[in-house]
Amino acid sequence: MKKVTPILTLFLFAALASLPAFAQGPQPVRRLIYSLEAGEALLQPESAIFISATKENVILVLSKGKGGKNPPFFVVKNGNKKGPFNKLVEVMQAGFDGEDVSTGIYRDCADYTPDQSRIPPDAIPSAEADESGSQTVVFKGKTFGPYLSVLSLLATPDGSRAYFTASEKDKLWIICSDGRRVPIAGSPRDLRLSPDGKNAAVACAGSLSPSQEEKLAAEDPEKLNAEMNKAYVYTIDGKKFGPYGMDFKDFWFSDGNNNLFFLDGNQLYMNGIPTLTLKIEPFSLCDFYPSADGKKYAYFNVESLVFSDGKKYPFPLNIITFEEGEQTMIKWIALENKKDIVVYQRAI
Amino acid sequence: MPRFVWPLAGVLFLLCVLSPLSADEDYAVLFGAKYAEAEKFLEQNSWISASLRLPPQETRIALAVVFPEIIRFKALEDKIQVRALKVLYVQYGRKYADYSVGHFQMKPTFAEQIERDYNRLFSAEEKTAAEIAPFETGDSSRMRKERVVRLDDLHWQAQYLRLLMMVMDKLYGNLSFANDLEKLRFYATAYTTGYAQGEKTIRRMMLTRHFHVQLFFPKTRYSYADIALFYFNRQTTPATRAPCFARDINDFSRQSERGV
Repeated sequence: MKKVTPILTLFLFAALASLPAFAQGPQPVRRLIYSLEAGEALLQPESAIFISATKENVILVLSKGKGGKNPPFFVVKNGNKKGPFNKLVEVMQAGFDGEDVSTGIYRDCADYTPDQSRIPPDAIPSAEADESGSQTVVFKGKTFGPYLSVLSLLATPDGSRAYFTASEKDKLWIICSDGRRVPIAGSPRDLRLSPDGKNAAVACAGSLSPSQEEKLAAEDPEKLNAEMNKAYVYTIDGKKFGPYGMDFKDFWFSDGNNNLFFLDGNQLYMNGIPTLTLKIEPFSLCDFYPSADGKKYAYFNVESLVFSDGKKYPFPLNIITFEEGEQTMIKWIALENKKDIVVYQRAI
Repeated sequence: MPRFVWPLAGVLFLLCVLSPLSADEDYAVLFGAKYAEAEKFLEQNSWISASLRLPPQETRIALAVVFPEIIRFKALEDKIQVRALKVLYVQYGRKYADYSVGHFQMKPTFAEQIERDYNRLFSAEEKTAAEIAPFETGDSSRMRKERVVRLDDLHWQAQYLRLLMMVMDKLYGNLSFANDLEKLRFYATAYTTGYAQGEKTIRRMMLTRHFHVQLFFPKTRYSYADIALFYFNRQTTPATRAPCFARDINDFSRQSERGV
């Protein structure tokens, strides 16, 4: 028996460890990365706090001066503490390898917005008007158009692609600089891009062309009104979803998740398929992190990070998500015991 | 070194720091697209004016008071990281975190002060007439959470602006101002530096330049009150200046590296 027990234990452990749920499922991996010393605080300049996380590491900028804003400053990066620094600019350079962070590090929202300030200078797209009043889109030396008008124009932050919506001879299009071009209709809202930059979507009110709208406005304004209350979603891959009614709320791509989500009333759709009925009030896209299959989620609510399986974790100071295998991973930094900076990670 | 050198240097320094950037500065050009977006925001949300329930000229003053903050919000809205600060404020209170949030860039400490002063300065009859119930007193995590939720709501920001105008009237209603512009300069400075600082401090701060639209390391600072006045003047006499949005604030930031 003495020999059997350790072997059994080892076998059991090996079997459990091979299960994804055991590795990073509902039980998060917890790691203490730093304990604030007496008098130390996370640096808090105006409306920001310097905790930066990526999939690989966590960067903390600390102040040991008055009010958590003054020198001496320290940086904790990959578990190593450096400092003291007397100037904010010096500690920021030490923490972020000289990267210009003067305009902010990232946007702390769950819905993805392509940061247009990070596009390489030679890949900043522009919409230019010619003498006839037509517009063209210029992107990396290539000209697209002319169009009657360019409605929305965005580039991926890495500068690899530009997407725009444009009208042309009574037709509307969603167009990508890589050659994809899909007809849309109605009145388009702003464009949304996926985090990997490969997909784009636009929601439109109604499904009429400009001339059809004009005609119906003159003939039957009530019918036009009813038509314009319908919502459709188009993707650059040629998919069309809808019509949805007046309860259609929003459409978006989530940070770290390349699926297209939209919300019609309380019904969440992923890539056009209903996946979840949400009961979150008030609901904010900025605080909603869906899983890779759209059937689970995590939600930030000022006091804690709440998962759809009912688990709740307090004091989330920073949240990032990324895809790993088939799962959406969520990593968050928490403050515990008023001094311990702890990193958690689990699949949503 | 002659004895007068240091006092003279001090006077010159104060003149540089305290003097307005320029009374004729065209802030619509200076802040470019962000100024236009801020103006458009107020046009598209005309309910804000109505919800203030103030006489027309007082409404114009109130909107001008917060206008520079709308420019700042428009410049930074995708960059502001307040999630962690909200958590720290709710859990541990104002000593651990204070932050600016929303279109009017209001701070939880500002809301706390306004709520206290509204409770303290207004009679039960006045509160009934204002149709705003007294605020719960105390400093619990639950109450801070409710305040954070209020500050995230534009309707509540408008309500806090209304309360600011009412409280300012109670505290400084006996002051005489030469004209509406002077009153606006006083109110705008009070909003940005803290209205509870007292008349002397507010008047001293009226000519200083602290406003900027960078998140960190501002290269150029402006007089908050000058921008409020510029907006107010354009609203009351719109024909005097042709709108010109030729430059974007980012272009200006690059130019200002010269140390303007």
